[in-house]
Amino acid sequence: MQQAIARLTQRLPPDRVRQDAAFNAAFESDGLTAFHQKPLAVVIPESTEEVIATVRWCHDEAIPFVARGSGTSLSGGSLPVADGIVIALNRLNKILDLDPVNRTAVVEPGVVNIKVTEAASKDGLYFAPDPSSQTVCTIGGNVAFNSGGAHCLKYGMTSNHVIGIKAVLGNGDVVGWGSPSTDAIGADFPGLFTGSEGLFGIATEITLRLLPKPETFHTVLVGYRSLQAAGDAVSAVIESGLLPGAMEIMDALSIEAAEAAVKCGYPKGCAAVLIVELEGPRERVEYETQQLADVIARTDPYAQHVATTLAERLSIWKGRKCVFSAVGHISPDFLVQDGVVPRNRLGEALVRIQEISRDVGIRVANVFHAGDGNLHPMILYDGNVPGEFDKAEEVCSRIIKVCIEMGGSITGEHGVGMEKREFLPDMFDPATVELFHRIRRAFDPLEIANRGKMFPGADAPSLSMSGLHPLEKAGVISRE
Amino acid sequence: MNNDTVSQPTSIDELRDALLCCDKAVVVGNQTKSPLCMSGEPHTTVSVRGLSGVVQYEPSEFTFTAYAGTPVADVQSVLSERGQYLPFDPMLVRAGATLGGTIASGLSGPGRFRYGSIRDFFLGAKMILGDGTIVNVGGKVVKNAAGFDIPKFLVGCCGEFGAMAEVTFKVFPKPIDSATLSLRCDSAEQASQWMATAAIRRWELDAIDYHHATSTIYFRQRGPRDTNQAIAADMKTQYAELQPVDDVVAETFWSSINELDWHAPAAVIVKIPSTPRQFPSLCDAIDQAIPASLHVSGCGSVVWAAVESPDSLQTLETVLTQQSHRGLCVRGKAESLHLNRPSTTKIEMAVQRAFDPSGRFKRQFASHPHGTVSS
Ligand SMILES: Cc1cc2nc3c(=O)[nH]c(=O)nc-3n(C[C@H](O)[C@H](O)[C@H](O)COP(=O)(O)OP(=O)(O)OC[C@H]3O[C@@H](n4cnc5c(N)ncnc54)[C@H](O)[C@@H]3O)c2cc1C
Ligand SMILES: Cc1cc2nc3c(=O)[nH]c(=O)nc-3n(C[C@H](O)[C@H](O)[C@H](O)COP(=O)(O)OP(=O)(O)OC[C@H]3O[C@@H](n4cnc5c(N)ncnc54)[C@H](O)[C@@H]3O)c2cc1C
Repeated sequence: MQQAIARLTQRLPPDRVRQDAAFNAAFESDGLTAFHQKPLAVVIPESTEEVIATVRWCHDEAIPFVARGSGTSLSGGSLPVADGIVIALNRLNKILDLDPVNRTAVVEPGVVNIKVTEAASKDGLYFAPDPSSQTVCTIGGNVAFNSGGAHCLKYGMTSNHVIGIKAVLGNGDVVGWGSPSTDAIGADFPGLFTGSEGLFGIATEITLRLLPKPETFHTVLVGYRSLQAAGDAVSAVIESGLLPGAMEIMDALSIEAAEAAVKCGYPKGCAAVLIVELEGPRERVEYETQQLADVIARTDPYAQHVATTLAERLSIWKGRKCVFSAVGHISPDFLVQDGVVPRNRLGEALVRIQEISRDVGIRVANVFHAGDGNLHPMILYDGNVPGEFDKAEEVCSRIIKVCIEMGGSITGEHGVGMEKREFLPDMFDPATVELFHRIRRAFDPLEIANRGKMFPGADAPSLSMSGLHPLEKAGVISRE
Repeated sequence: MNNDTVSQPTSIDELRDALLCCDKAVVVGNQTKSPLCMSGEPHTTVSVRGLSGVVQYEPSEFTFTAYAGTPVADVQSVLSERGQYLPFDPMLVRAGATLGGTIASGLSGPGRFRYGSIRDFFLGAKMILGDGTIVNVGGKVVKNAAGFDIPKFLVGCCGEFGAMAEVTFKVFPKPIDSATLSLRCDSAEQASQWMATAAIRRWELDAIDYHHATSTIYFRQRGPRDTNQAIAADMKTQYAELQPVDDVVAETFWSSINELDWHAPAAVIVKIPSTPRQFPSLCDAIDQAIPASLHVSGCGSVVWAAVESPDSLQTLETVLTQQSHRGLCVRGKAESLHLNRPSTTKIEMAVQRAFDPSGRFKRQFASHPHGTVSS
């Protein structure tokens, strides 16, 4: 093994390959902190050529590698493999081109998501996919996981905004797919690469589509007496012909946590709040404001607050955005789940989650991207109480099974990674999983790119995530 | 090359049997004489026309699932009854487009400018692979990050990776009204500048197209009538020559783009992906080289070239090659389907083998680059 590493160091400039334990400790796990694995080495390339040289060495030596952006994956996607290397891409962080005429940006994979919007905003543009981790996570990680956020219903996930990819594949080939045009001829390889969870190879250059920034926002917070009523209100808004930029729901426990953490002033005594945000040119938003008010009036609201200033809008969102870090105020530990149900079965899904929670005797706080049926239940437990963690895990897997049963998905944005790989065959039949395997092997015959992820494997360590990501603890980011 | 054998299965099992019965299959929708339905080898044509109908539609879910042979026109009327639509503006609807053919052709109309093209609305499919296995790719919900995103990959693949039997789409609420404005300009270059500026303004336009022969930009807004008028008034302060287009005239115009018949009868229509920055020089170069009618859609993302004679295609190919563009002949008589086709990579062939190990479907990446096609 060490001889192979010596051959790698010969291919790269000095200091790119790190084997010191103290330095590498930071790469032993990602946001799913319970999984730990020491890598053989960490490689920190500073150019695309160095990434290519490293991957080709991996291929020649049959050594597995894991690409790593900022390591904020919540599903163990960037966990190292035993006897494999980590290729950390943070130093490839240049925005290579930003073209306001074409409305595109060409970026290196280590560029942090928010940096694209910051750079584009002088031209009135922004990059629509906005995971809550956007101040830290990288475009490479977003592409691998097809990441999302609060605005997916209207603008789609990351893949809707990726039109070109250059990559070095697991077989060592360097490929360039797509173009600066949003139109294409032939099969859509950038579309296939996006969401492939690092199993095909490493994206080294990504062409992104940019959108004009909405002129106006109209943000409304509505309290309801039951979760079912809040879920039904979402369907009522959709059926009225409105297309809000975001629709989010929080249940009583989440409200309690948010109030304890940031005193966001949400209406007291309601079982759920719904946040609806309209956006667009002011004339259209003004018209839709009335339409929305009429719809909400018919949904038997318990309380209502319309933001009239930017400060009020931000205060409504503050409560929503802090929920994950806020549950620390009401529970010592928690697991977070990420599943999808058909939106018109949201109410039913929530009732089922409450039943599971009662049945197992573990509290569950719910927040979700209601516009697209993406649930993020937080399963609250105390790791010091014997047996509580196992109960929390049981709740987690029963919820994901409900999502599958209802025709939804095992992940809306966090990826399958390590965490959900055992559930993949519950969502896809054997023939489809076999097709996935064949496609993967077309790009990576030795299966060295992110080995062990997405597909079920006998050696899966059990899920035991608890608490906050270190960056959340440090107050750098929070989850939506 | 075509074969007389046409198979018309009416169920998914029959479709699988029909495919397994032939060595080489070309799956078609409405079996128009389109270049895309041809193959360079002897084959059996398997039509999915008999697999038609909406399987599941819940308006509050923003999705529907239908058999691949369902005419897009049927789907549009079902959606329209509930005030919804397919925002990417499916093409050739009057000509008889089916859902499967629309995905496989990868064509989107002017509306793709606002929310994205067909790839952004196609969520999942039940499809039959070359070895007869039935797979379910993607999902049936608007958000899903599990497994590889094969639906995206299938857009534009021309039926070369499998036969789609059932497909799921995302839909949106249909805007109440629409208004079209036209703007004459001096050159394609000026058009490009004006279009690019309009694209990033606060107005959030629904479509921005350019008709080269008349040097006219067309802006389409969608929303309530009053707000359309207010936004149009604001646009007028930016572009003094802006003219409202009568609703009926506008309807005819946009429909002629979607149906690819905005031009006098043409021999061949070619799709050329482009950008706002590239299209002026591309249009000027084509103009100088051959008689062609050019329409630019999606704020420059595609140039449609209607070429009067098939002989001009070679010259068109030369222009495209010089300017590093590619073309796909989508309608009419053409010697070759692709113009300036890039050479096939081993990865592309390997992926095709993953879907179709026995080589039952026509090969996009086969060694023979040119299949003879006729209309
Ligand atoms: C507090 C918090 C909030 C979050 N909120 C959201 C949210 O709202 N929405 C959401 O979608 N996610 C969210 N996440 C999850 C995570 O931030 C995203 O999945 C993000 O896209 C990961 O980016 P990263 O740079 O950290 O990637 P990493 O964690 O480093 O890697 C993620 C995956 O991408 C692969 N990868 C990285 N770079 C490349 C590359 N160049 N080529 C190929 N593969 C690559 C890795 O191998 C791994 O499989 C959140 C995480 C945290 C901790
Ligand atoms: C290229 C092209 C040329 C056309 N030419 C004419 C014309 O000359 N005259 C006219 O009146 N109309 C024409 N049309 C209109 C055409 O009839 C349709 O309106 C439409 O665009 C194609 O839909 P279709 O269902 O007929 O698909 P088809 O034209 O039958 O097929 C288009 C492509 O999709 C593939 N395909 C179709 N169904 C499936 C499936 N279920 N699974 C996998 N692959 C599938 C085919 O192999 C083919 O590559 C043309 C359309 C296209 C796209």
